[in-house]
Amino acid sequence: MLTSDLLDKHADLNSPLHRVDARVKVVCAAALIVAVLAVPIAQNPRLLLLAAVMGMAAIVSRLPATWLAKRVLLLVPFLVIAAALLPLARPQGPDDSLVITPPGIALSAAAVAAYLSVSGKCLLALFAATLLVGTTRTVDLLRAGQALGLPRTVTALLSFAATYLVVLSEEAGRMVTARDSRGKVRGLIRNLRVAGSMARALMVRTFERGERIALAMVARGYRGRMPELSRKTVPAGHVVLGIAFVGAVVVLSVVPL
Amino acid sequence: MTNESGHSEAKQTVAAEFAWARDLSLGGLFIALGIVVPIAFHAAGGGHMGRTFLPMYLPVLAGAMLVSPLTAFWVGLITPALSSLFTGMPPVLPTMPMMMIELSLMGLIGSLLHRRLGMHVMLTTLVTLLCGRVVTGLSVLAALSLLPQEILDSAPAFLKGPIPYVAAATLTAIPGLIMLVVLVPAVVMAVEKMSLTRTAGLGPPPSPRLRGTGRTAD
Repeated sequence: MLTSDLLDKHADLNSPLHRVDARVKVVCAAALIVAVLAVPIAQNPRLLLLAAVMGMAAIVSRLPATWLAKRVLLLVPFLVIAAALLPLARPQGPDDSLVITPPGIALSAAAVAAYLSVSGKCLLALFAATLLVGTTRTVDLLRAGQALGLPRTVTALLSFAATYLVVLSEEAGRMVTARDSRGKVRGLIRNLRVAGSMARALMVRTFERGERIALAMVARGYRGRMPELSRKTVPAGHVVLGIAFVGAVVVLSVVPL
Repeated sequence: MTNESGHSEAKQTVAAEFAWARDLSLGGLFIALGIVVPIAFHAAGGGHMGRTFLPMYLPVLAGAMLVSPLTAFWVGLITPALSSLFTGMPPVLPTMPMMMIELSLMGLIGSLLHRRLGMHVMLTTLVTLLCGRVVTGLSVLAALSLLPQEILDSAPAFLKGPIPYVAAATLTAIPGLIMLVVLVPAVVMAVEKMSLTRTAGLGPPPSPRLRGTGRTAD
């Protein structure tokens, strides 16, 4: 299923980006996402500069283009729905009117700019996050989060979630296979009823599993705190690389267009 | 006497350790469910069923009534962010931050009402959903205040204020809200019946309403 396709699938490739320390990658990705989200609507072309940076990073990462495209294209249905709402925005005067031909629909230029800004930011933020997840092992991401000051409870929850995602995806996959084996259900309502009862069954089983795991943790010596993960210092070269990257992103964010 | 108090303290320590381990384990599982259940729903009903059936709310809300308030808060905060990262749903802007605020506060409120105050699960679900709508309205208000005036002027009527937006979102989500009101209490009651904390006597102290009745909220 989807999660086993995402978690660690390409994290063991050998590329310069894969070799960079996870902490440096997390900081760089965060800087890139903040820079993307901070671009004002009036400066939409700046998003193209940041997209070019991400494009270069994607080439360096050697991640398969189809895999990257598949992840980013998940957003398309949402963007299409948002685009369908654009004609509802009324142009405020002739300066704000943007006529689309051949249908001859008059759209609000401000609304179109806002739409392009929001969609561009969503796509680029998802792309940056996908690059980070695609080039870093989950355990390294968690270690990086912990080293960068994420609360211990959060890293523990995230590590449990990452582990169970695969388990639950497989269990959900088995439930879907069982449903299909029993025969195809016709109609949206019936399909949703089946999905609802599957979700309920999955949650009840999940709860049982969670409590059994907690008992096993206590039985194996868990004493209220997760053991601290080992720490290594960030190599100096990686620190320099990270500073240079963040600096470049800052320059791209402020350079006049 | 000393042996008895020592035994009681040891039992309390084990109970606290188990409660914390259980919280982390269940919290992680409910986060994972908050990502998997929407995928299953989208597979059953098409790509954009989220707004109508609110599938992510189901594990977050049910989980809130089964874990401590702090863990429920984190589960509500982490689930939309992680789901957005893994599946692209909800979109990073503007839905994800709004859902993070809404689900984290719903988790916190749901857990406080059910586990601390001992409120019935059905009533907790209704109150929590109502609070969720209020929080959505407030986060929409905050989001709208960040938009430039010219965009607000050209926006359709239902995007001009929090009340029309919340009304439109609630109308769209009526099937999902009904499903939550039916499924969340069913799930919570089913799992509370078979909870190991009840059978092992390791759960947290009973809520004020249940104290003295021999029953526990967990």
